[in-house]
Amino acid sequence: MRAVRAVGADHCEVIIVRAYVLIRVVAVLQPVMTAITSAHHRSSAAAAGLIAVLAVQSAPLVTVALIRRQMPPTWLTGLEVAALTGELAAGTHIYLSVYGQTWTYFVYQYSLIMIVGVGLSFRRLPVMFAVSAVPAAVYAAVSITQLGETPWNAALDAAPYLLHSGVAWMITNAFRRSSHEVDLAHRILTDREVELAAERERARHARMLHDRVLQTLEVLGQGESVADPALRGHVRAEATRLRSFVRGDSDGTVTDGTVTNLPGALAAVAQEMTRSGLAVQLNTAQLANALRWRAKPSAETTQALAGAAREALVNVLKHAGTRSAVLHAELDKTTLTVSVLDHGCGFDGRLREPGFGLTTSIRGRIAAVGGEMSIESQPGMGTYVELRVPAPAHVSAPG
Amino acid sequence: MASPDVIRMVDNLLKIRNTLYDEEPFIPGGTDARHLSPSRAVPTLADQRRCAGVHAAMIAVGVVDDHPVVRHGLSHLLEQWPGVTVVASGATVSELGSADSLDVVVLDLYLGTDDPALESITLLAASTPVLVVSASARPADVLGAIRAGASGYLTKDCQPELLAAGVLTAASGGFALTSELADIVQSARPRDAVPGDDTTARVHLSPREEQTLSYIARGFTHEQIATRLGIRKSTVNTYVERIRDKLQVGNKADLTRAALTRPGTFRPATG
Repeated sequence: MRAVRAVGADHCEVIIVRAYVLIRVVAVLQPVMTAITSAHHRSSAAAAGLIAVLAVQSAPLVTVALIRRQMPPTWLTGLEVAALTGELAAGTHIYLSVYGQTWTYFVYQYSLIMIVGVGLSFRRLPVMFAVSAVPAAVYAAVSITQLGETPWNAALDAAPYLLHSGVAWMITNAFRRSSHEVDLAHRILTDREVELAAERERARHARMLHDRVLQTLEVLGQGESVADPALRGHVRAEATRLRSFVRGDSDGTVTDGTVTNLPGALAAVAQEMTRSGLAVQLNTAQLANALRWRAKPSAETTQALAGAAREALVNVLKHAGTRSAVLHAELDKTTLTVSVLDHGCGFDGRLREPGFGLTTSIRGRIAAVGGEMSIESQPGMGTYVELRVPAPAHVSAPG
Repeated sequence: MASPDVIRMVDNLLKIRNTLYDEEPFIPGGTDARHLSPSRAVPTLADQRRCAGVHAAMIAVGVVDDHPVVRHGLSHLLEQWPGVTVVASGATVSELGSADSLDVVVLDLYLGTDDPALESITLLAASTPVLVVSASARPADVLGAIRAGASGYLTKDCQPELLAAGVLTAASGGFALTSELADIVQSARPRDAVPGDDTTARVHLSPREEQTLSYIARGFTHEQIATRLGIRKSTVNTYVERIRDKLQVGNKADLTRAALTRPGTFRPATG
């Protein structure tokens, strides 16, 4: 799929960063307001010093977020959480020396607000909870040992750390996920539009080509109007190539053997075999249609399937005693199937199959990409070769 | 959308029309006696044609294509097939004259214009099976032609045997579902439709019909499919007919209207 700008995800990140900066500014304002409104704090050098420390440690995070317009690196956030453990302990001493009211314990309030930023920063839930648990545990410890709280009360006071970060993480995650889905839908839509435009253009050319050249070529390729069988084969091959061009299977001919889309690769194989004298009926309409919105097979899978189909067709040409075969591909929810069928002489499946080396080679190719292969044949009943690989999956949303 | 009642009604109308004008499908290889049944008071057009010197066992084919080379080539290929004779050909449908004397019309889809000849298919199919032979393999063209009433669709790169088989099947009133056509019909299944895309046809097939369709797309013969599914060959044929019915279901009313309003349809019963 072509790279389309991830409009939704970009927008989503910008909003998250804005929210983050706002939260960090409010977190610093909280102790500043405490200092301004309380005479005791105002007069305490220790309180003023600790507030300054909190403001200074917030600065790099906010600056990075503002300049780079993305969340600060998680290691920086981790570092701040580590520093917070010391500040929580130090804060209790300032509080003890000044007041008897919990709400003036401003480091606690600061940390409760900044922990929302932790919820925004870490994408993996266990990591995020582990980081949030550090200040929660430190706070519970110091409030029991330094402030003389009961364990029950301390636990109640520590719980909001996990609650704040957890809710923030949940909302951010849902937001990111839905933005990603919007982008995915947008990308599929853009691709379809481009394909549709190309399809319209191709249809216009196709009309011109098939109305004149292709019709004549195909009739000449059949029957007796061209006496020389070699020339007739050549005409037929050219017609097949023109037909698959008109159909849009591939971008013209394959010269370097590196077609990465499966219908195109199979069309190239069909052309090659037709040139060698085996008329291949190529049935890839279902596949081509399914690929318009389902995940495409990898280049390796495409190469393996096309290579295996080619070997199966060579086998038909060499051993089946027939001049025609059907090459078919089908993609459903679970499986991508490519089959080669001929109505030639067949062979006794219990005996050694002709072209035995070739079939082991096909089996190997398909097994290498996680697929399997089966051969069915009976004398006089033709041969059916089926290649199956698991249907490729779309890249799933992160988080 | 046509309800089952309407479809049944239309079916009855078609049957009545067929009885009136004796356009029941001609079975290739059938005996003359079958076609000159003594119970019939009125000689049918088919009978008249046979009396006029065309061998009764021969399938009379009309070929319509705007390219002389292609027309000639198709006629040449068909004439080589035993039991098949090309009695009329032309660049347009009107050049064929009356289609009543034909067992099957082989029709090009684009007759010198940018629009497929879907109306011609519907008009012709009301009286004579139409086998479309076109250079276009675009799913929209293929499905459009079938929906318009065609008895089959072949691309011009098909093997001569396939063309002959298609003509035989269409002439006998069957549906010439080639592997290529089956593949394209498969691509019109709702489960493969792009989400939110209403332009693709919604053809709801039963699991057995799906299987049959998939096997045909792989190139299996009806006999082979019967063996694989453990059913009779006639059942496979039934599935194929049902697939055709489902593809053409929305068009049945159009077909009937075309059949009833076709100019020159009504002849005096005393003939």
